[in-house]
Amino acid sequence: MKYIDEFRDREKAAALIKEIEALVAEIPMAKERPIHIMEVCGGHTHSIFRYGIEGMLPKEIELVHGPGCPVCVLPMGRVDDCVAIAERPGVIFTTFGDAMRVPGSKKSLMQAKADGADIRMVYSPMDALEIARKNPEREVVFFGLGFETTMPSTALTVLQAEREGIANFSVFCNHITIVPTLKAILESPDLNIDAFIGPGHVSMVIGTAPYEFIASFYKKPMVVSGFEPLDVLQSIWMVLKQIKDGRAEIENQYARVVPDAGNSAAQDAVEKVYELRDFFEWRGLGSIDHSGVKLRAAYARYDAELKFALPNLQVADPAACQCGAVLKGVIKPWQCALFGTACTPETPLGALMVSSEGSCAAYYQYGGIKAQAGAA
Amino acid sequence: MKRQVNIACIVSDDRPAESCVGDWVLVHVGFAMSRIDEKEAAETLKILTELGEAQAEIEAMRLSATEVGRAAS
Repeated sequence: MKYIDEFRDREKAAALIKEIEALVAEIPMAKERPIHIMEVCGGHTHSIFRYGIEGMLPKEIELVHGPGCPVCVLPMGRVDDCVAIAERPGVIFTTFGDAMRVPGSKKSLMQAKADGADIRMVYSPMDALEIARKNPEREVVFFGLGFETTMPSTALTVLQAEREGIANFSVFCNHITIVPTLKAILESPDLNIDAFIGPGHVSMVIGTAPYEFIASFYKKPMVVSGFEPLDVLQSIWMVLKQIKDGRAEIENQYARVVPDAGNSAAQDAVEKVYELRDFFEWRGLGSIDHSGVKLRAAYARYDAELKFALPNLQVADPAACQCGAVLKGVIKPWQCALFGTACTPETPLGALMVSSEGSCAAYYQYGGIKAQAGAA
Repeated sequence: MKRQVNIACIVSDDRPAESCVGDWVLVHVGFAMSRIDEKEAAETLKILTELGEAQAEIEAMRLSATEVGRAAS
């Protein structure tokens, strides 16, 4: 397909890897310890494993798989809330498919569906609104999940519901925002990251300016990247050039999709519909100030949190889970005692084993055995 | 596959809906979020092509230098 195949070219990848090797040889730090580059976005984690990019890179580069998988960072208590809404009589609960298997403290949405709740997978929030139009006697709830990439689509759907006066539609808003999350990682005392591969699709909405503090205050390079193998390799190459030159800048490798200013229509919809929460609980990372959004008071009648009484309990992750340490790059997935034994993609315990974008699931599917053998 | 896509985020007064026809867009959960910028895509690929060519040239020079070295010795 156009704009995809060209970015998977084998020869160009080989040329990039040679450049990367040459650059690493010129970075003195790499002789003493590995260079740690975090890809923030789960989509990148998925590409890196799918195309075996880690295996192509010189051993001086270590990729740290970041928190940018919204399904993975969803706390158990929120899943319990979803199940509580879904199990109310008269409710049709709609969700993206990848949230179905996230474990709650008692059950996942998949299990709740098996137990008889009317839970439907949708491709778009607009599909959920269509279900509401067709079922005026039922309450249709959409599970709003994701970073700034999906935030505008939920907002535009709420605005559409308002325009049409659809009263039986509401959103259980669990959207999260990337910048406070990056700040939390950068402020972490065990921070072990030299540079960032920036999220491509979040940036197509918010632009590149919100990341400036990473370069100016924390002095870390970041390159906003596309998702094809050449995109990721080129971004790693650009990051290494910055390290070699002693620069810390926000660069944009994905300019074919990401305008520096982002998407103003999407930003307007987000601004109109949401406000920041004081804090939001993340699985693995704990509570992060201002990292989530909720619907503004003007849209209260579309807010499932206000429409339904929710248990809203905080449920701690299983004590043995080390998702937080993996997310921050302190340990590798296979160094967790649960990895591949108690915790697998079929029966995930920890957040990172849940989605195909989670780093533990990716290691398990694509590289777990090799990584463990290499380490032994 | 055919699907309805919401284009509210990629149209504006100076880029009306009619101007989208034939454009490639990035669609996320049923919403077109960005028009693919052909010039930028070509620019990115050009950099990568040049990288490969430059390496091939260096390699060719290295090989011919070795040949010359052999001939001289």
